[in-house]
Amino acid sequence: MNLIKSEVLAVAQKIEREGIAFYKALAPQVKDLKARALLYRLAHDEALHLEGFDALLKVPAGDDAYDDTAMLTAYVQETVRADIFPPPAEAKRLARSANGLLAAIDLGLAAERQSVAFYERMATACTHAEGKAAFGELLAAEREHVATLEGLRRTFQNRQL
Amino acid sequence: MKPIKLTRLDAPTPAPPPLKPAAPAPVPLPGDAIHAERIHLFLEGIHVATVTVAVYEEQPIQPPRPGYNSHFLRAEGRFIDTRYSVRSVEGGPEGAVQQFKRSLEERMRKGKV
Repeated sequence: MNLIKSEVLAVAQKIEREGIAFYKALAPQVKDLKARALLYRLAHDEALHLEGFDALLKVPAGDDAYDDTAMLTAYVQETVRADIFPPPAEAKRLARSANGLLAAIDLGLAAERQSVAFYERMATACTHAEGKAAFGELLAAEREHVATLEGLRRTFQNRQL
Repeated sequence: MKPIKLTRLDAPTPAPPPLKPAAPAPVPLPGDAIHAERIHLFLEGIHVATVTVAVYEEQPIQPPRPGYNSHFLRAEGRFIDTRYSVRSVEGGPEGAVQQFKRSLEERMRKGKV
């Protein structure tokens, strides 16, 4: 496994693992059961993504698996070092504080948008058909997560007005 | 003179009888499971997840001990990143699956997932 292959997988796994931990920590703190259901659904989705990385493992190692490998390697290395989702303790702390739930949702939204940006870049750059399709599916799923969180945010914001 | 009965050549053909809905594909049995089913988990009417539940037959506890059921089924499934299981003594494999569903939905309601 060459550098870019292992690091792309590392970022994808990190996104999904951090997402599971974040939503799983946040969901029980939310008293509104409909909102809690959506957060559990997001956690379950992230767990399914993590289990379905077989297609990404099929992307061959080597510079010709992705376009513009040099730029991509720098981006992937930078992303793997950064926190994408906030730590679960932060989600719990925010959800318990006044108006903190909106802030927690905003953190989730920022993380999901970062995930969208990552999968979008990978889907564009990947030249391997199966890998490209797998990144495309993950991209669509993360876009749905953004839409779910935006809906949740609107609901809670309207209640505060 | 007998009137001639006209038949429209462009008359719409009658719709075929509706097809029976296709039976759901059987869920492959993992390992030594005796039954497997896909269930939908809901909370407040919101679909949270579709989970595969497998049911296993447990060996009778020998010698039988008071307070323990000597023979039971175990329903097992994965939700988020954890494997959950419930013991069931009635209702057969389908009953065990329903018990698993109720148990997990109750856990979500209480925020214990």
